[in-house]
Amino acid sequence: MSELLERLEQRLRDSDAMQVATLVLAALVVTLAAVWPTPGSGSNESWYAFAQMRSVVLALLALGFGASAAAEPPRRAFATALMVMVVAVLALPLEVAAYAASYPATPLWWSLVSVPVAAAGYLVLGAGLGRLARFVRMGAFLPLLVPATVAGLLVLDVQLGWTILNPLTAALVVSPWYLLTMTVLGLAGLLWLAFAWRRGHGKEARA
Amino acid sequence: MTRLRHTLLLALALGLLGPLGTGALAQAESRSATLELGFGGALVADAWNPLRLLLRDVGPVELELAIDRGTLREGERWLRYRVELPGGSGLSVFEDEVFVPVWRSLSWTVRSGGLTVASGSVPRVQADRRPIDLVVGEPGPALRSLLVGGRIIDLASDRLPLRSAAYDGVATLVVASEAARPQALVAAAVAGASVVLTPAARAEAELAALVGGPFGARVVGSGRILGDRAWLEAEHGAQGLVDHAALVSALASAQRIEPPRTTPVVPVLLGASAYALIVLVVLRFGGLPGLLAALVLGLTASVAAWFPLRPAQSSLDQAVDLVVGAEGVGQRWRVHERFTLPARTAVFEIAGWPLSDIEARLGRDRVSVELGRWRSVQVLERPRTVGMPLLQEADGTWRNTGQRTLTLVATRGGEVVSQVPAGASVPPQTRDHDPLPPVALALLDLAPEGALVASDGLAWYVALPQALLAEVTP
Repeated sequence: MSELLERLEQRLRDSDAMQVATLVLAALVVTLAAVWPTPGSGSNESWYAFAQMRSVVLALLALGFGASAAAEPPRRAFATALMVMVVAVLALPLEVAAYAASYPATPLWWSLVSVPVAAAGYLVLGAGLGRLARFVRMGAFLPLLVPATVAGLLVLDVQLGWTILNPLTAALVVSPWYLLTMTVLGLAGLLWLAFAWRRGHGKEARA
Repeated sequence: MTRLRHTLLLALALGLLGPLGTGALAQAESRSATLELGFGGALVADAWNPLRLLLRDVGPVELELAIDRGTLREGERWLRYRVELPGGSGLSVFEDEVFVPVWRSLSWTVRSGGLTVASGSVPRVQADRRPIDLVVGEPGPALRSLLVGGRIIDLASDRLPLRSAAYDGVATLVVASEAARPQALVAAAVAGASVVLTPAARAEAELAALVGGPFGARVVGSGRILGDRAWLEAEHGAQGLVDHAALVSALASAQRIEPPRTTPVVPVLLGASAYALIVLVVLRFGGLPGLLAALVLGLTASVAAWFPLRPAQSSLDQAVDLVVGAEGVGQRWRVHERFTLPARTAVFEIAGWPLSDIEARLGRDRVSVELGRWRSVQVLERPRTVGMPLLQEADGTWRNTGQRTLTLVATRGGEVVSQVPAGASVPPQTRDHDPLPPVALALLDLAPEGALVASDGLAWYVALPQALLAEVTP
């Protein structure tokens, strides 16, 4: 456990992690300020725009890091996944602020639960995307494939009339199917990482 | 022989079944439901109208009145009044009052056990806002000629409702029958109608006591009761004493719920930026303790942001009363308002009518409205008769006969008294006072000359002076 935390701490100190964390938090702070209403304008609708922005940004982040983690050693991949989860959790106070002032009908627990679960789910989707892209020798196109995947998931859900995979509509309404899908994906990824971690530990011991 | 037997059996069977079939037919014919909307079928748009449903040998029924008050541009906008009634064998009568707006489509259906027992509709051309004049008995051509409203309805005396809300759209009630119930006449007057009693009506002692003689006249509630001579010589016989709709509208617009104030963006931006900066610094330079500290900081920041930004309540409610009347009795209009932050169904357990132009489901004691986020709706409760705490003495002075202290009493001239305890006379008023609240100013603008506008903190009162009758009495 302590080794895991140490690896996570080291991963967070990597320049790419800090840059992404800074970028995500800055983008969310700017979004919050942009959608916040002026006093006297009546209703406060800031949470709706903010939650969608947060959801899409974190989905892109998780898909991107998941795709890159697919090519990393299991321990580093585990640390990368945890780093994405930490960034997602650290963005929650901004969402709580928007939620508190907006008073939406969607319950707060949905945001609190869906943020880490969705991050885990999109990480696994990203890992799958990364492996697939490398398998078909299109790894260089991952920076394009990640946003295209988010757009594709949105189009797929809209066409089918569901909220199962896309982060945009899932941010605003409670969707049990979305939660189930992301939980299953997240658990599958967690099991795979745990297995890979142990295997890596055994290899290290034998070496 | 066999054929003869068959013929006899057939005749016997027909003989037995025949009466049964006739009985069923008779029963089917006796089952009926009749709805009468308004007085004698005449509706007054934008007013409360009486509704009377007559059921004969019909079991549990559901009455639905569907009113579309939409426009061609905005589309349909339905209001559905629905009540379930037990019905039963014999005759059952259900009476209520419903607010009828200017409609595009108005239809009604009575259903029982999945079957439509009766239905009907009222053509759009009958959507008339003009008040009606009711005539009970035969008052003679002289009095009839004074009824200039153009909508005269002859009514039997036993069909006069006892609840004042039913007379919302009635301008004048001419009574030329001693069979009329005094309670019904007082209810009509309280609602704002001019009740005229002819000699035929005053032959009954109870009715004569309401007005005195042919020249007698008194302000009762927000209307008046007059003798026929007083009415004949009145200068403005057809006009009401006050415009109730305007007073209620002024009250409803002047006393609204204040939505929660939004926190300015600058503190939010500063707080969010500070949080992001601290978290990044702690993550970058804090090592493992820094990671844990950042997570704790996230939790603390969530709690710290929640309490100052979260409005205290998800919905705000208020109810404000307006009582217009005189001689210790008045008509009360209560305006309920609900402001909701999340979108939800607002349910009011009252007989009422939404003042906003929105769809609603109505019942005998229920109004249900779908409200969007950060929206409010005002619902006007069915008017009813209540006590009026301000009474004008014979010498013209006013006295607080209520149970509560009047915190404000104002006249149209701008004179104000701030405190009138229960039971006390209203002292001479002063012009040296604090600025009047917007509601008082709005009501004073619409109140007739000599009327008082008062408040006890819970309700607003417009007390009509008996001097109003100087205009109509010779």
